Amino acid sequence: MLSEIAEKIQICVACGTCVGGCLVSRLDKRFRPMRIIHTAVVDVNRLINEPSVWLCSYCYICSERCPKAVEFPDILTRLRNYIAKHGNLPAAYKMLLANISKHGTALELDEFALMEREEYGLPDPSPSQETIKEIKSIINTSGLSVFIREG
Amino acid sequence: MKYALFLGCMIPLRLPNLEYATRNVLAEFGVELVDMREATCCPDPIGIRNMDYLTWLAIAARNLAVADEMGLDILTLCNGCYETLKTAYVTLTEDAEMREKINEILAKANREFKGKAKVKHLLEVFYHDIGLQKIREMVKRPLEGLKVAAHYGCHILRPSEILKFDDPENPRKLDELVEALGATPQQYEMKTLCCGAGLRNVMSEYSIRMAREKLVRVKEAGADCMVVACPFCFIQYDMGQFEIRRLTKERFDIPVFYFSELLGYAIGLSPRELGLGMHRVKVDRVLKKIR
Ligand code: SF4
Ligand code: SF4
Repeated sequence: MLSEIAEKIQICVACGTCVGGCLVSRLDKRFRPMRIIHTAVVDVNRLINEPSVWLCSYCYICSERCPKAVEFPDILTRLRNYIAKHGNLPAAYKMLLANISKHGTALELDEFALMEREEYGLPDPSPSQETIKEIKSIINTSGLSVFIREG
Repeated sequence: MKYALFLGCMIPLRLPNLEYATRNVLAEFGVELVDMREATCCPDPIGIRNMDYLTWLAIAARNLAVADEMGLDILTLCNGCYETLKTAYVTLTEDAEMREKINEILAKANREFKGKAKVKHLLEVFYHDIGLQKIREMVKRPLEGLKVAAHYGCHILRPSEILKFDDPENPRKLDELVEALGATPQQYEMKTLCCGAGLRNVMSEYSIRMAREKLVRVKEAGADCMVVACPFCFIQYDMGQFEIRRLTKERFDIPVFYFSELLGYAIGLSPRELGLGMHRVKVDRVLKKIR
């Protein structure tokens, strides 16, 4: 999986354009897309316990402006997949997966929304048990179910 | 015009008022919507994709397969759903090997991605399928004198080589839609800034500060209100103003509209038919300005 991105990472010319347009980088000096790329080039395992890896908001401004088309968010996706497989994943994401596996949706229909829907005469938005079974079968093939048990 | 309505999670489960307004407005334009009863979470373009790219793609492909079976193009009301579903559509249409891999996973759920159903965002339907001319004709209550700051959101614009909705640095389609309603599109600094929703669950303080960055600029420019095209952006800027107040003591008082609401008001629907009472930052002051 990581060999796919190794090549892309190597073409970065360290121009800093990605940092310049990044709103998160402006709020937190510890977060630098360029630095994450360079750390990954040296040793991707150094990123496993690096909290700043989880600070990107996926706005795609950096990749849109990068002169070398490095596509940082897509690289980060692969890095985060790797880190997740090595056991480090924010609790919020585990919860998200647990919800999707249980309800078919990222959130649960709460009582307030249900009442509001009834008042507006909107149809029931909940996926059927049959649909949820299909989703579970997809999640099971990928091995992601381990996060649900943890979460 | 007929679409498979892909609701996603945030709108039906947290902001049904936006769904109600959108259904009512589209009915006025004679657009027929068929609910996707077998759809699930798109899934969200950050959380699930960050855990496992293939699972993310497979669940998205399953949703596309549901629309394939319905024989209809998909209409999404959310930038997140749009990015996920369109990225999946483009990836699986262009990459035969990946398509085979995903269809193997889908086979276990008795589904197949065929690539027939296209993915359209609500703004695309208004801008391209319905068109500015038709919208202008439908306006009964022009929003004259109203200065509206358009916020497009990230995942309708970028990655632009996949989404191809508008110019990623200098978008104009939502501004043109605002203009078609008789309002004045208010320009402001750094229009393409992210709302910060992507960090809401992992680093809420940054998420709030990101929303603030844009509100500061919208306020400075003198806009009466903002218009968005995504439920996540909506929450960031509407409820977000109260979160900012707690964090920095600043008060913005900028009403935020989802595009269907503003359009609905301009074509003569009542605040009730648009569920406008549900906003955290009250919209009455802005509506009075129009009358
Ligand atoms: S903009 Fe592209 S080339 Fe420049 S530092 Fe960032 S990733 Fe590297
Ligand atoms: S995608 Fe991430 S790294 Fe790139 S500009 Fe946005 S927040 Fe910064």
